[in-house]
Amino acid sequence: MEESNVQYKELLILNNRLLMLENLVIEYKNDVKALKICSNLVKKEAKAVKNSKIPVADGDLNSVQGRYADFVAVISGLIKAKKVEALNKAVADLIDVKAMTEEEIKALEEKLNPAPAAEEKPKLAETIGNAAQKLAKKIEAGAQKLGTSLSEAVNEQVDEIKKAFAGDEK
Amino acid sequence: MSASSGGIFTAYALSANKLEYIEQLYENVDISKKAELFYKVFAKGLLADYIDAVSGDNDNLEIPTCFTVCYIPLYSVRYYWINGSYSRIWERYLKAAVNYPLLKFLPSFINGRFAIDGGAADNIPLYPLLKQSRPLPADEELDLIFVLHFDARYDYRKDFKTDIPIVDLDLSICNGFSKAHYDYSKNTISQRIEMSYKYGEKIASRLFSADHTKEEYQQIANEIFVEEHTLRQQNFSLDRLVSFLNVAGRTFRNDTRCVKKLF
Repeated sequence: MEESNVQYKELLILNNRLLMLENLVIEYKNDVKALKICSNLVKKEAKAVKNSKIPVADGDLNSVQGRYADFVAVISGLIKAKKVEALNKAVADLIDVKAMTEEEIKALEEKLNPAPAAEEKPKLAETIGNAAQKLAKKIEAGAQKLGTSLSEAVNEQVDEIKKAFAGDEK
Repeated sequence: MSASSGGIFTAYALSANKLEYIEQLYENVDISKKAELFYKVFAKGLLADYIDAVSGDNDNLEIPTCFTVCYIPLYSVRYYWINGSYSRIWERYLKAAVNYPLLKFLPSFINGRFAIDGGAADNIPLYPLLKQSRPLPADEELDLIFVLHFDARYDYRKDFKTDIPIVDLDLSICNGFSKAHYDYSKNTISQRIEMSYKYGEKIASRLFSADHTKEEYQQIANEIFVEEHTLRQQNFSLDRLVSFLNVAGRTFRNDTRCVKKLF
């Protein structure tokens, strides 16, 4: 039982991180430069998830990896979209991917702690939403959150984003 | 709403609830000399900069807005509807739509086609409002249309037949048909905005002081037109020349595929 809880917590962390990245991409969906930076970040994050030795069942980890792969494809579609139809489709796909992650988080929360989870849900959703907004408005805040990432690679990438965005603002 | 050329800035701002911001932008142009204005528009891309300034990621267009783009060499006009959350795709089209011929160093291209200001083919784009492809729910009808322009001789009745009441207003009346079209000095712009507010209030008080039927609206619109007709006939505006060009735009217009959605 204890081992399952650890697994669920690890999966929850992974999914919350993915959700944060999805919110970030939604925030910057009209900014190609920012999307390219986000794409690099997500690829590094996906790689870090793949190489991690988290005590999670292979099937669950594959599911997260699969959603990361979908997410990378969606960002690529967003970047490449030149026509309004293509852009609308990419945005719809992005919303679908986000919905899947949210569902996964909801299921994990219920498995972890069924009764309190129901009370915590709005709080958690609010926290994630706020965190993503802060991340989007001021990437430093996001960088701190992402600083707890799985690997050094992500930290480096966050620094790159900070520099790139600071460059854009100038 | 439907707009062409410079009118797009105001239409977009109205739809995105940024009217105060666009007023500030207009006042900050602060150029009173033709040569300086031409230099800023041609060499410095002033209009494209203003598209960047007025549009942004967080915009939400509450009013469906249409603008025109003219494609060369076929001289075909396209009407593009935008609505809802901002999409980066709009930027390219909006910049092309204010790309006055010979007034921008670099031309605009959309999907490989040379595109210029839609005002060259339809400067007073009433067409998309009267065409049934406008993005409104099927049961919603337009109650009243305001046509705001600077062509003293314009009369929509020559081109359109409709039972929707149309208030045809030549805004040159606001500034007494002043010829200072290129005077964008701060004082002049402030005065023009103030006068247009007063004129708008006067027109609105006549139209909206009480509930009216369609026929009554049309009657008031006709009265306004007749009252201003003599003054309009005595004056000539440069936009008349553009309206002559628009005959070609109407001729080459492909009714089956000239209206597009960008949302």
